[in-house]
Amino acid sequence: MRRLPLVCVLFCLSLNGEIVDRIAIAIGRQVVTELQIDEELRVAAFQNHVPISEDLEARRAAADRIVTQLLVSREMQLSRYPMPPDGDVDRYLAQIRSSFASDTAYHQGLDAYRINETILKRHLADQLAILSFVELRFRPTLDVSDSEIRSFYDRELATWKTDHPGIPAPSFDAARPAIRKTLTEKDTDQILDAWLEEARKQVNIIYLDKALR
Amino acid sequence: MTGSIAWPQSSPRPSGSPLFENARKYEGRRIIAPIQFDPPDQPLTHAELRAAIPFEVGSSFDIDKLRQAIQNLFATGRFADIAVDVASQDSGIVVRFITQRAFFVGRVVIRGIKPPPNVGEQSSATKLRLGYPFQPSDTVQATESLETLLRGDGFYHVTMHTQTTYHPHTESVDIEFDTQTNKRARFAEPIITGLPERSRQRIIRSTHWMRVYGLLGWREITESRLNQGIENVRRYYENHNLLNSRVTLTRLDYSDRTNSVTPTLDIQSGTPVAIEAPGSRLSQGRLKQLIPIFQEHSIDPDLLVEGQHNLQQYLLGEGYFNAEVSYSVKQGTPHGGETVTYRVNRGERHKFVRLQISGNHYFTTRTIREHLYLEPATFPRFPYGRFSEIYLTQDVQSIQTLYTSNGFQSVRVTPHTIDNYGGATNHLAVFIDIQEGPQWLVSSLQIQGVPATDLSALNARLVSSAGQPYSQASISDDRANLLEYYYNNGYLNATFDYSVTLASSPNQVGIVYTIHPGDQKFVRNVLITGLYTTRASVVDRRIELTKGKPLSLTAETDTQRRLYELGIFARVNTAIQNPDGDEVSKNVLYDLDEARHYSLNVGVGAQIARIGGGVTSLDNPAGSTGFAPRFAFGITRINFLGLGQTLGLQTAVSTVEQRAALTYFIPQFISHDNLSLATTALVDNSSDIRTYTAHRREASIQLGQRLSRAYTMQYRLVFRHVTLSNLKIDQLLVPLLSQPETVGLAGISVIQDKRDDPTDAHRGIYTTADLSYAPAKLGSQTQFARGLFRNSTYYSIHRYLVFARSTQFGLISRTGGRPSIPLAERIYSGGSTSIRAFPDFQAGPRDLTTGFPLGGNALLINSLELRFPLYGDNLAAVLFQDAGNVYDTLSDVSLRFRQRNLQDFDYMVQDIGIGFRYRTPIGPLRLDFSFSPNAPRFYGLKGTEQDYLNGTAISTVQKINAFQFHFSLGQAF
Repeated sequence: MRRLPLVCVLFCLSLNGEIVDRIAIAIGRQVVTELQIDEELRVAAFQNHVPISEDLEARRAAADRIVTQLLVSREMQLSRYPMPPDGDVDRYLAQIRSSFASDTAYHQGLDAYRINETILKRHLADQLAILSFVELRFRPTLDVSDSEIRSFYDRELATWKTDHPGIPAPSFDAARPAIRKTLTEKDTDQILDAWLEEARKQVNIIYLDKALR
Repeated sequence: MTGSIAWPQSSPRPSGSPLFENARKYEGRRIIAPIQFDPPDQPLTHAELRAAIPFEVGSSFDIDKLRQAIQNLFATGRFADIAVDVASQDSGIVVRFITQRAFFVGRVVIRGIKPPPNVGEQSSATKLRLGYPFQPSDTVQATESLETLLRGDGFYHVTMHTQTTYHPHTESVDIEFDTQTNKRARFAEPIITGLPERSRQRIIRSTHWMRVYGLLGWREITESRLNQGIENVRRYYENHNLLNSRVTLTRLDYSDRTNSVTPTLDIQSGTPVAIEAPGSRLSQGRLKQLIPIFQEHSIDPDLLVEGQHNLQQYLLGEGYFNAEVSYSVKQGTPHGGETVTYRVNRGERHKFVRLQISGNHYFTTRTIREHLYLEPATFPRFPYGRFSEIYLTQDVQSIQTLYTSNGFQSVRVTPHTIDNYGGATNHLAVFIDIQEGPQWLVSSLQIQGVPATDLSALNARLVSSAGQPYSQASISDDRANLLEYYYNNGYLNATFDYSVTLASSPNQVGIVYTIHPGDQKFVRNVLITGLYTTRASVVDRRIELTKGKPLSLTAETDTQRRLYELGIFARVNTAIQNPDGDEVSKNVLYDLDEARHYSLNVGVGAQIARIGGGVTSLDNPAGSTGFAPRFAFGITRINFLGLGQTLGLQTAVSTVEQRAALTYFIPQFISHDNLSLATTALVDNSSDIRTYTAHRREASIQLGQRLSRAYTMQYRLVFRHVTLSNLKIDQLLVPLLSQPETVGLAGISVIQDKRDDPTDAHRGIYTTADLSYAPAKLGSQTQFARGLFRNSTYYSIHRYLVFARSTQFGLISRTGGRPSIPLAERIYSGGSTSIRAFPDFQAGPRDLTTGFPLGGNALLINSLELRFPLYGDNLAAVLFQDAGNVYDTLSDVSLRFRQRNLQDFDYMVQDIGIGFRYRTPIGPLRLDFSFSPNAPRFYGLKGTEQDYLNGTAISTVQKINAFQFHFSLGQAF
């Protein structure tokens, strides 16, 4: 209802001009515009080598990712966490480029998704910032015990034996690093989700585009 | 397809959204007209809008810059929504921002709720914070929260109408909640589940939810009454030694039909627990204080250990340094359950006889001792001293803090205790060795990040400076002072950092303060809401913020304080509108709640003093101990005529006084914080001076001026008309002295107060000088001048010993009119705050026939006191000596010790005595006993006034009793 007046005005005005952008979400005093969500969709599709999905679910997911990035970025500024160095972004970009068959294919891809390298680098920097935040904030608090690794191995071993009869399973010692990594990531996701839930409560998030809620 | 993205054949090619396609069309095209805004009336100025938008006419259209523009505009907080459209024209494009204004929470009014919940609870339940952005959905949430709150207090049927009023001019929204509630629900008989093992009646009675044991039904339910009832049940079980009982509220069922609420209490009574502490000699009450299982209703090992520790510490504090405490839990009490036994072996009581501090050079031992709580034994205050390991640890920490805050960063404080000190059994000594280490000094201090023009103002506020001790405490003070400077000048987001580096000289550091002032904010406007009867000018004159000037947080809170000090507002809520917005100018809001206009006070008391002896009896000129009940009633109308001024009527009735005073008080007179004006009309009949009953009609006006914290001036005009009756004086004098007297007085008083604590001073000075003149021009029938001077000083001559002295001098000099100073205008003295050798107003000249006091024209009193603690921290004692008297004239003032004859009153009456002071939050309770070796003797009469008139009264020798006692509140001076 709150947006109705503006929507009516926009409708009338759009008879003369074309709406090119508007606020989709307000997070405190920061905004996410419709074009920002659009850009996120195109960059994500480019990175994943998939077509751009225009459906509402995809837009909601993209909006959610931007909200997460803004919350993390806000916390990093407040708590003075270091941002990832430019070198990391360049290495990440190189990794993306190497996923294309050639430099030409890479540039054709950027054109096809209507983004440029500056936009891509900005998004990569945001993604690295989240990883860096998780690493600095949560990783030191996580500790996967040997018993957790053992029970995970035992569960997976049973599944292996069913799925791969006759093929010897990797030994516990050989699997231990990979299991530890998996469990750590799982715990990290959980703790990050909990942190995000709390962070969302502490800031006023208004979905001006109700469909994104 | 090498070199291109391999799409699944069925998938569409990448594409964009309609908005993106729209925007992309215009990317790079030239903006040919000024940026447009719709509606044209925008909340920001053109300059502010231009500053927020990073493109202009002639620029190329850029999607990233457009996003930045939207972000910048929204960050000001003045917009609720923003969209941008673009129209194409032949030679370029036209960009238009379509905006919706933001609104902010203004005044929130909630009507129709009978407390509880109180106004504060109602207001905070809405979560509508003054000045914060407002969304229409906020009212829905506020309504739900209010309804929940009201249900908790028994209002189950609530009709709430919400009305929001938008004020576009101030961008605020006033929100009103009109509430209609049904009658508050009552308790119904609780349902008890579980294993209560006590009768239902007893449990229900213990809740106190019934009125008069149920004879008057059930009480109304409120949240606090509900919780208190449950707590009462817990306490009931606790009193029956069922310490591990559990009382839980499991349900609250509301019945619409009866408008009542049935609480369901699940009770597990648990098993009886007996607590014993053989050998401790502690009362059950003390055990309850020390052993936390009583408070926690649980017997777990942690609480038992905590109880053991508390007992041990308590005994240590009592001097039982070798006390051993252990505990055991045994199943089985006389009634089943458990017995917790704390076995206490107190051992010998020790005496803390010596505290020695060594190694201190920078601070004197006395200075250090002032920071310590440990106290060696002194009789009678601390017969065994005050010592425990905890006190010792705290005191060591205090010494360390004292040194580190003065630059001794590596100070080491090592305590060492010796038992059986000096060969005396159970004598304890504590030695505290201090290794001060080097004192670190500041070699240089720089302030960075601020304009050079600010430096002189900032430097003046610094605590740290080159050559001064380096300490974190000083840096912390500097931080507060520097930030305060910026906050006061509108830099609301100023930040402070510092760095410390070792200097080239040993034990010296360089400090650099880095300040980021941030953006300066200014006052856009000051908006005041909530005035209904108060005139706006009353508030406006007290606003210290000026439109267009820097937004000072100190000025904002000072204004709030000034408004509170008017005494006419129950609540002064202040906030900055749009606090998080980036805008340069901000509105400052004051939302006021006017206090109730009328207040009543009723008091009942009694006076016990030397006021007895009968109205017509002449037997006791000095009075006999009497009792006078006293009733007081007052009514006050605050904010009279909406001017912030107070009209009050105070009355008092007792057998010695009947009094009514009508006062009109103007605080902050002519909007000046330091001025006040009081006008009083008084009708008073009093016989506190036993010689007569004075009937006084008085009008006065007094201007008070606080010059500084220590100095106050008072200027006054007094007009009074006094008639006397029941005169107990020589009949020959009655026609002269009983004449009605009109006096017009102009006076001035100077008060100097530099005491550390006005209720119980330890050091400082207190002086009053009161000068007044009664000229014929003011209607005085007798012209006279009067001066009264009092000076008191206080010296802390030892850590706990205070020497106080006070001198009073007064003089009245007749300059014209009637032949003598009117009886009621003379100086009277004696009593608990002057010469304690006398009962109240009994000093000085007396009627030579009846012996009743006549007052005098000169006064000289000197008092000395030695104040010291007597026992523990609350009981103190005073040895005092008073000397002085009221004299007939100035030339009669004498230091003579002996009374020459029974008609001589011009000598110095002396007294010595002892007093006791018991510390209370409102000042010490005082009991003084005095002995006067030269209390006056004088002629008096036996008989009544009628006997005297008949000539049958018998002349006798009377005296002021050599022993007097005074009971009062506060020190004598």
